[in-house]
Amino acid sequence: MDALISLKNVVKLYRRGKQSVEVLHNLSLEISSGEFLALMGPSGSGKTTLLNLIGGLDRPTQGEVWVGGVRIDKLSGSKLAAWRSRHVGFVFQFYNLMPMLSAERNVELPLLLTSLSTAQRKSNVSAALELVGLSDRRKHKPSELSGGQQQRVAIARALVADPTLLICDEPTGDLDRETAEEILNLLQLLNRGHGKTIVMVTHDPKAAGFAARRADLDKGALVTASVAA
Amino acid sequence: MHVFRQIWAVTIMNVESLPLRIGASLVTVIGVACAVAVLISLLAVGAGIMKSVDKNDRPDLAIVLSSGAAAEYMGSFSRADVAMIGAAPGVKKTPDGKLLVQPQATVIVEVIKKSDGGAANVLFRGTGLLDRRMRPEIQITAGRQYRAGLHEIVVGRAASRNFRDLDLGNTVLLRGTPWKVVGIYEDKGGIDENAIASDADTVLAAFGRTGYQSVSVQLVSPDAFNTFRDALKRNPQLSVDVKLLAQYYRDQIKPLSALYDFVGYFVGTIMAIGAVFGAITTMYAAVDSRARDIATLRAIGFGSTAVVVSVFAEALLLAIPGAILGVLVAALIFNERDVEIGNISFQLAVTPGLVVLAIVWAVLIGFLGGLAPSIRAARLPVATALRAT
Amino acid sequence: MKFFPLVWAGMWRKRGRAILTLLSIANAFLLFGLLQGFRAGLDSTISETHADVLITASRISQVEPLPMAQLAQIRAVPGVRAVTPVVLFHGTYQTPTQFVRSFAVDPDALARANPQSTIPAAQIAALKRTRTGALVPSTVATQYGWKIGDRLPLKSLYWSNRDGTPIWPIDVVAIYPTNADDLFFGSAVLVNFDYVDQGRSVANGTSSVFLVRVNDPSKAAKVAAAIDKRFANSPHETKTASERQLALDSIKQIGDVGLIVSAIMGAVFFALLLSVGAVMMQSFRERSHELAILKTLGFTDGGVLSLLLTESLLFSVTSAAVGLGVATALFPLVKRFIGFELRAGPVLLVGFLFAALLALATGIAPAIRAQRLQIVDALAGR
Repeated sequence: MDALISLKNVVKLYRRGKQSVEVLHNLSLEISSGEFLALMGPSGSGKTTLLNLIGGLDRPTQGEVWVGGVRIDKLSGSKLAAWRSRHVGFVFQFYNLMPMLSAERNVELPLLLTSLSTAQRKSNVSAALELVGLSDRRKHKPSELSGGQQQRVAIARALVADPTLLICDEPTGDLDRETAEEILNLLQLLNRGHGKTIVMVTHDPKAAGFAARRADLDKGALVTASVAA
Repeated sequence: MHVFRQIWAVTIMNVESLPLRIGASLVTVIGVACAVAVLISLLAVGAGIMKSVDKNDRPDLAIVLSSGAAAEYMGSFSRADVAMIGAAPGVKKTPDGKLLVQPQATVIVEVIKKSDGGAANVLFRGTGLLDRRMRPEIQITAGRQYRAGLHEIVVGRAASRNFRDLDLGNTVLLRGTPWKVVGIYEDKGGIDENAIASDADTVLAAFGRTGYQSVSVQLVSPDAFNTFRDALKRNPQLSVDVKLLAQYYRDQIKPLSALYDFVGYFVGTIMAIGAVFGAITTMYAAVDSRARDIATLRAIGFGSTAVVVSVFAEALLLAIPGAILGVLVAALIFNERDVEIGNISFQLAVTPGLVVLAIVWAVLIGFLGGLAPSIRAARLPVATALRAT
Repeated sequence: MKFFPLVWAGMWRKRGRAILTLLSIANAFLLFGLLQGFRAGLDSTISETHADVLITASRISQVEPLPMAQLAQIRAVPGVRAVTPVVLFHGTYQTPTQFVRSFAVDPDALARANPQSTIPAAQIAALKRTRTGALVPSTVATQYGWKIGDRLPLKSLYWSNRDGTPIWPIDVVAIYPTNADDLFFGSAVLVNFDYVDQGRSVANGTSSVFLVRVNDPSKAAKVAAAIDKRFANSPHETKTASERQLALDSIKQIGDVGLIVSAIMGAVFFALLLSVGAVMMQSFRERSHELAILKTLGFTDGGVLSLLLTESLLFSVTSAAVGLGVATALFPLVKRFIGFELRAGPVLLVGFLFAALLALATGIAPAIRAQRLQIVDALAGR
């Protein structure tokens, strides 16, 4: 009832040739608004698949996926895309910035899908870049930024449309210890200071420690859903 | 390792990996093929025209024209003039002592084209027995020869094929007078097949001319030409131009063949430039996709010469087959195709010379296309390329 | 357009390759511009020739003159509105390479016989008043720096004076605006027929050709036939044809221009289609990951398709513009060689149309692939 995100008896099958592989088995999960959840598990456990379902990048074979009171697994192509642009921000392990656009143009991308004016877009972009501490690098291209800086730009891009939730898939996987901590601190700030709901997949227990709750996946099913200290 | 062996090894490696880049490579080949096909097709026009002139090159035949006359149908020679020409040194005689000097009465007449019903100008040459003796290669292949004094004509094979009412047995109105087609002649596909012929004096009378338009002469030998020409030029009573017959024909059609040659080279060059751009793109992609392999070779100890040459080799390997394909297409479509331009009918010719030109073109395109990429391959920083993922 | 930075960045993703592709397209359109310009210029020049003007020339040969006695007879043919004799008076000025196109005409008949003439009546009267007078077109006057009142020694290519020289002094009595629409007389120096005919040493009392204007253009062919019939079997048989027919015939002399141009352009576009198409597909393969990211951000399938097609269109049109721009910039130079005007307008119109077609043909396959791209598969590298 308080749950922002609710998965009910979700099953996901992938077809490999003639064989079907069941990646998620009858999975049910609830995430409240304002939560910071870490999803952990060995490779092949289905964490990325679960993330894709929550983010509306994929549909379950069976079951229901509810986000913010909307049953997203029933949304059609363009409606789903529109929903995504308004409600979800993605942060990936390898940043996935457009190499030929500057930082600020990268951050602006989600806003192009809205009806905001040029001035409004500009001010939102500035706000997002300031939030992640990269205002002075706005004109740089990704190739001119360090790994940590690129991830910050990616986070700014994920935030700029003020989405309901942030989905992070191994956000620190490609960063060194120090930079990883900076990024995780930033995520924590966004969660505690700005109330952003965050679902983060990680294989690093230390990174999971930055989250408020941790869920473990193994072979497509939830093992534990514990509250971290 | 010896440089040539290095080059060979690298080239083989590149070639073996071609199938991976088959799409881009084929595109380059086709680009070169198109450029070459257009070039050769256009040049085949000029080559074909020249061939039809050179087909029956008789270096002992000369034509005498009035000074300043642009063509053989403009001129004026009296019988006295003809006699003076016959008296010049170097003129051959028949076994029975007759000078091989043929005055000709030539006019332009209008006929109707079979293809589109449009009007066309045709050469109507009044000639005679002596001309027939001078040019035995002109054969009557249907019907018979015209008889002097009658309004009878023989028609060249090409003229008969292209124009109305010039079939054997037809009577055709030329300038208001009827003439009967009694024979068709052939000249091995030469340019004269586009004309009509009859007896000189008959033509003179029929068209109210007072003088002949040109004089055809057979020389004792090709070497006699200069003496013959000088003698006539020095004669104060004559005002003439003297040319070898083949040269006269070449001069007549020069403007047309020159035009097509110009267009051919102009268009061909622009298209070749386009092919070069395409080749550069393909070769850059080839070098980039093999950056790791090239760097590995260099790390092992292969010199940059081998790498550079191998890039050129690959470029040529694409360009030359492209050119051959282009020539084949041009030859298949156009070689020996009959065309009619400017009222003359001839066959396009994709000559061996043009094939050589196509290969030269390909080598140029391949070289220019491979130049920048080869430099890039040579300059690849070995360490970073090896690290490239 | 707010999407412009994204589209522009996409076009130049790989700078070097993009520049090479741009040059390829520009090169092809340069050729297109020149060839199409030539063909369209030819067509429009011919279509501008008037069907109600005939040229009567000797049937025997192009250089054989016609007796002036024929003038009255031609005028008497039903359907003829006006006739003027025309004597070729081309020559050189000062040096053998400075060629001057010139005709000797009857000033009285010229305006009536030549409907394209825009020469003011006052100037024609001036020509009539001065025996040695000449009407000079403005372009030629500028070219040689001639002014009204200048006495010019024109060296004729055809006629010698009675004094034995080919030099004819002419006095510039008026400069008329060059008329590009008037094929024969719009850019020629016009002198008096009487001056030339009476002054020359040969061919007196003859004209090179007669310019005949008919009342009704639809009857032009009949009138032409009637004129020729009048002189058939005479010592000076004529051949009368309309300006348009003559223009068409002289072009036919060099071949089927339209077909040749089309064939060349076919080969060019075929090669271009393949090479640009290959680059586009290659580019798509390299970008599929980025396109998937756009979809995660909320770009729809249709949105991504439009993006790629827009990129393709913008790139194609920009590249074509470079090529067409250079081609049309060369038009004035080409005009000097071939003598007739090339118009940029129709060439640009057709050119950009082809550029759009090229964009569609080469861009549609990658765009549809982008549309169908599955986010999850693309992100996972499948």
